[in-house]
Amino acid sequence: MAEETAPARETTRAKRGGHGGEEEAGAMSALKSERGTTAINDLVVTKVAAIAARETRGVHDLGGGAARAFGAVTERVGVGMSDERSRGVSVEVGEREAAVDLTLVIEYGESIPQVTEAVRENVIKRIEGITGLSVAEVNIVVNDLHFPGDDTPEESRVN
Amino acid sequence: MLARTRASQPPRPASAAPSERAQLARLALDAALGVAGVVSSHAGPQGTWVTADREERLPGVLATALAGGGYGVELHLVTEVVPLLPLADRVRSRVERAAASAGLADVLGPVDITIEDVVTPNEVSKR
Repeated sequence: MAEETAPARETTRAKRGGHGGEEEAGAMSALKSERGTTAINDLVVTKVAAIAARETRGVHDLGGGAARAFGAVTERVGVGMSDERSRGVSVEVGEREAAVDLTLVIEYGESIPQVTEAVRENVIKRIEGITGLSVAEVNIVVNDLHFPGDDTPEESRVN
Repeated sequence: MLARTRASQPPRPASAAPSERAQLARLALDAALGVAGVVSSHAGPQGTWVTADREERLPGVLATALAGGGYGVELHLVTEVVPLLPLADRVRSRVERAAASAGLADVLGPVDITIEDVVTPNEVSKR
């Protein structure tokens, strides 16, 4: 049950690489000045994207089935091996742009196109506002739907 | 009978002032941690983003000599989820002011800032 929605904008994907690597001749990035450079770790962009997606109405969770199952197990046994907030998010960060891939679980009954568009807008708004990077694209895969009864454990057949 | 002396380097006086490099690292770290929105410094996955001077170790800051003289400062920070470029500018300005107050403005080079991680208010309260 996976649906991929179209990216927000058709632009060239940001190149992966260290900050301060590919500087256009004569151009001074907003992140670079004579007083020093400012770099933002990919992890920061990942977390901002995840928080922005989670706070959007209609999104139940992030990540594929295996990642969510693994996260549930590690949470139950009390070992924080996976960072819950970055699950289901992949980013590429360049000098000035970021590209984001998201895997979502959406509440059953919500409009998938509306939710994904709201997610896309919120992710772009948050990343651009917080990091100063422009977002080249936000690709979304809807991996699953969540039913209200999914979280209720099955009753035992025996006493 | 003459007392035997050990053929070793003379001990450094206890009162010796820290080097300019260490002073810059210390004031840069203190200045950065004093800016609202900065939660902590980050010593790096291998613990290599550290300036050491005698017994003092300053995590998350590197002051390194520049070819033309003076020292460049690198700060590796964990912050709250706030607009990061203005925050970095505030940190940089505060470091520059602190260096000027300490009479070290002439040896302060570029102040490079890397935001290594962000934490939410819930995570801040757990720390």
